[in-house]
Amino acid sequence: MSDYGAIVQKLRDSFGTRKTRPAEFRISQLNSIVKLLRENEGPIVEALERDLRKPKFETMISEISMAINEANYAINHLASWMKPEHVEKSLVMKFDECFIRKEPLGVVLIIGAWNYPVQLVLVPLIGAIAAGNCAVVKPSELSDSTSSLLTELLPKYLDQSCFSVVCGGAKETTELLEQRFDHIFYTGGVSVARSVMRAASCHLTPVTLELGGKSPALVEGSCDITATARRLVWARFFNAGQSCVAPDYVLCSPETRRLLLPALRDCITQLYGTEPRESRDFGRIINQRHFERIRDLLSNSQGRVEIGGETEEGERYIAPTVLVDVSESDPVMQEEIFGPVLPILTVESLEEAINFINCREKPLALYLYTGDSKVVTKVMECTSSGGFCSNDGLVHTTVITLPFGGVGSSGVGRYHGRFSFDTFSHQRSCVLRGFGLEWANQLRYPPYSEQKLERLLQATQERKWSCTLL
Amino acid sequence: MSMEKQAVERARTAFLTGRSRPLKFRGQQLKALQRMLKEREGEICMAIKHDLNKSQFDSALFELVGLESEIQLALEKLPEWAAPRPAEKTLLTLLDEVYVQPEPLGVVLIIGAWNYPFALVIQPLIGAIAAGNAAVIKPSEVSEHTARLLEELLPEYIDRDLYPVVNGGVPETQELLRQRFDHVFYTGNCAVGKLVMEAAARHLTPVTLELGGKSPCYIDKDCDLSIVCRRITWGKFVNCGQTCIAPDYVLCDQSIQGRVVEEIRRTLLEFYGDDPKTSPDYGRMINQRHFKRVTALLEGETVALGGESDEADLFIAPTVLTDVPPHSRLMQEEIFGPVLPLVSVGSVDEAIRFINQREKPLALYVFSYNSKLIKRMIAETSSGGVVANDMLLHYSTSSLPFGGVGKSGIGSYHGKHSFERLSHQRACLIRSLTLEGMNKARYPPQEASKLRVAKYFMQKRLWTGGLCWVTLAVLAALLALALLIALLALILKGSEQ
Repeated sequence: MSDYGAIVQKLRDSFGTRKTRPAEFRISQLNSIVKLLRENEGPIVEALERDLRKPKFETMISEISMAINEANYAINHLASWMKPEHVEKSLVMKFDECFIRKEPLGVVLIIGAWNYPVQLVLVPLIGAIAAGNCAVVKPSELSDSTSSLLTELLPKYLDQSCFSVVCGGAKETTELLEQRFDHIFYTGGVSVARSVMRAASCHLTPVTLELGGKSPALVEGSCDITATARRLVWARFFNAGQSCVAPDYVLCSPETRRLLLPALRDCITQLYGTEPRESRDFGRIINQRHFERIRDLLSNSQGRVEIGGETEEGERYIAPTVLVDVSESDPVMQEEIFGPVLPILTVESLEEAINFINCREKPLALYLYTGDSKVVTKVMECTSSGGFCSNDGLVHTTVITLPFGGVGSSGVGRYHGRFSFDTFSHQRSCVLRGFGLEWANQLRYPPYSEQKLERLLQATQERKWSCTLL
Repeated sequence: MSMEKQAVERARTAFLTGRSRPLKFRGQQLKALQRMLKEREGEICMAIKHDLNKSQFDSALFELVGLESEIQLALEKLPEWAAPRPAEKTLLTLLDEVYVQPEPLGVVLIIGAWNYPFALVIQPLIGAIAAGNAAVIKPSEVSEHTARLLEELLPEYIDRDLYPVVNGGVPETQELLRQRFDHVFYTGNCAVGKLVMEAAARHLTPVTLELGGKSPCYIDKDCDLSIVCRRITWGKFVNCGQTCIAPDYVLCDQSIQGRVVEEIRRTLLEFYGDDPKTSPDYGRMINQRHFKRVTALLEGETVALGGESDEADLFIAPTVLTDVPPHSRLMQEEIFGPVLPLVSVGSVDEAIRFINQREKPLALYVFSYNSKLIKRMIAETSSGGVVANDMLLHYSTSSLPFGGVGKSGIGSYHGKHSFERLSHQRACLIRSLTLEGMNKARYPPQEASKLRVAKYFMQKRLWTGGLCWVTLAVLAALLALALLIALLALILKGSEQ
């Protein structure tokens, strides 16, 4: 048996002892995660600084605070989530207990990503723990400082017989995916996601795939340009553009563009200073490969750099950049940018913008900046996306009561808050009867007859009648 | 371009016109399906009878009645299901609209099965229509009469571009699976389920797989075996055992096996008479291949009851086997036929171990007077669904999600769960561009005080923590003010008089 086989078997054996089931155990593990984050704030900030030059503020709010929030939310709500859900019954079932039991799945695999390496491992893990599972966690090898730290810390805080951390790259991940899991939770890109789902299909393992794509930002003429520009800049350049829900490109009219560009320039200066390279609040690209990828997108673009455009290879620095005169066939429009580059494409009308979006893959997020609620309704009704946020960016993913996930090629499934618990649970339908009322069952037994059928139909359609009566 | 590809493209074009979205349209299509069930009941039952020798009553009960209720439920509840669902707000989103909006996915592929050939296509279709999707329907070619009838009937009642029927065998199904869908809904077996999921992986298409497995039935020693066996006999032999949630095998103490056989014998007499072959209510195997498969499983086993078969008639008598060894061939695959093995276990512990050593089943049945035992069996095992002291019922309770876990399936449906499964739940945050002040804390340049404010707003929810007291205090003050004004008004009125 391979190493990974042994690890999974160990977790499966632990799961079989039922130790992860009691609420007390789950809460103790969740509290340990909170403790891990609170006690290691410094090392986490440093690790993210080394991997992404992530500003401390960003680490605190988008990694540490977010994960603590999720853990505390799960702790506070666990009892209600775990309770069986009694359901509406028809008259013939009135004396039966009919409910949905929430059960753990078993051993789940969580594959993290490098852009929010703490959050994207811990938030799914919180869901897995809350739902009573064991888990194998595979942090991204690209964010190696943070992943090494998690590999060191998680076994110190969590029950090692139930939760394991596995490190490695593509080869190790492929091997790991040969094992059988009860759910696979993957955050990352589309092509690896296909391999993950294909591997999962061999064991009929359900998957959650948190992917990405090109999230459009429509800027409509009636919006407040200054506020729009500030929110766009913040959302776009947070984590140096390396967010799956960052606005990837802007669609607006030529007139709006004329007003937007100076506003964007001002906001970039306000937020990052005249030399963003010197700002402590602006991050860096994760590695050389991605740096070159984004730099090539810039240099191959047929558009024009209106703002920024500077790069510094040694630091993997790319300035907050705005591109204009970009057409839909431009290289920058063929893939998710995942960097601090914001192309602006002009359209003549809202309809054209909507068509543009609908000709492409369903994005993970769709943003709309407008002062007109009718425009909000129209865009929402005519498009589809994982999530939708009007007049801001990124923040809908921080609302713990909203599900976070994609649709189409932006993802399968969802999580956050209660949705994490549901993702890692099996909803088991239960009907408990007694031995009485066997005479009522006679209607369903052979030998069949017209009369029996009629009476049975009457009995099963009772609900409709009682509604009418009421 | 292949016929399959054409049908999918037509469905997608039709979906993109937006006409499947308005609730009124969805309601019309569902009502049309309802009419079809009423007006063409005779033909539907006839087709199913040709495929499976199901009696008209059997078909009505197991195929049509359930569909009628599902359509009725969808018609009543659709406005509620499709409405935006407000989500609890955080302090940060206090002034925003925060909700989840269900939306159609697009084009759904529904691959039916042959054992309930009508229901297993129409039931997911009801969910697909209710959720506003287009759907390509691929009935099982094995139940060929029903497949042909569906191809003829559906276009007469519902939109033929949005809901095309594509018939065919393995090559046609493979061609369909090469196309891109927004959800693939498959009912059938594990082996094909894997292929379906693998094909779906190419397009990252979510799947629902309604599979099967060996659904165990545990009988506690101290039970009224006449009632137990009557219920088990019904659950097992309906549709000639070809039900994904039929009790596949029984686990019970060796000492009651004899009585179990006797009670089943007595019940069979009551249900199907002396000779089940002549009963109009007893079904047949679907085809030669399955007939041979099931009869082969009987080899070397101890037949306590039944065992007769007739290949030309695809008839296998209701059969009970005793003392079946756990490692026998019979215990390695889903029987899907009218053969009920009784496997001895010495205790409920042993039964639980036995069940847990195997794949998670689609259904688990337990018969006992002892509610503690029942609760223990449920707590210490896993399965798609559980019924204690009866059979199959969770299938017809539309408020319960119907689906498997592990090898018995992915996802669930029925009732509202069908709607949910075939919708996208889009998270929506509607903000305004005002109150930029509230956002100040999050913008660089950063400092420690801003971080504290940002964390506070992120973590506070509306009705918990410090804000609760503030809100209550404000409300209390407003109430006091209102009462004061009312009191003053009363005093003034009084003094005027």
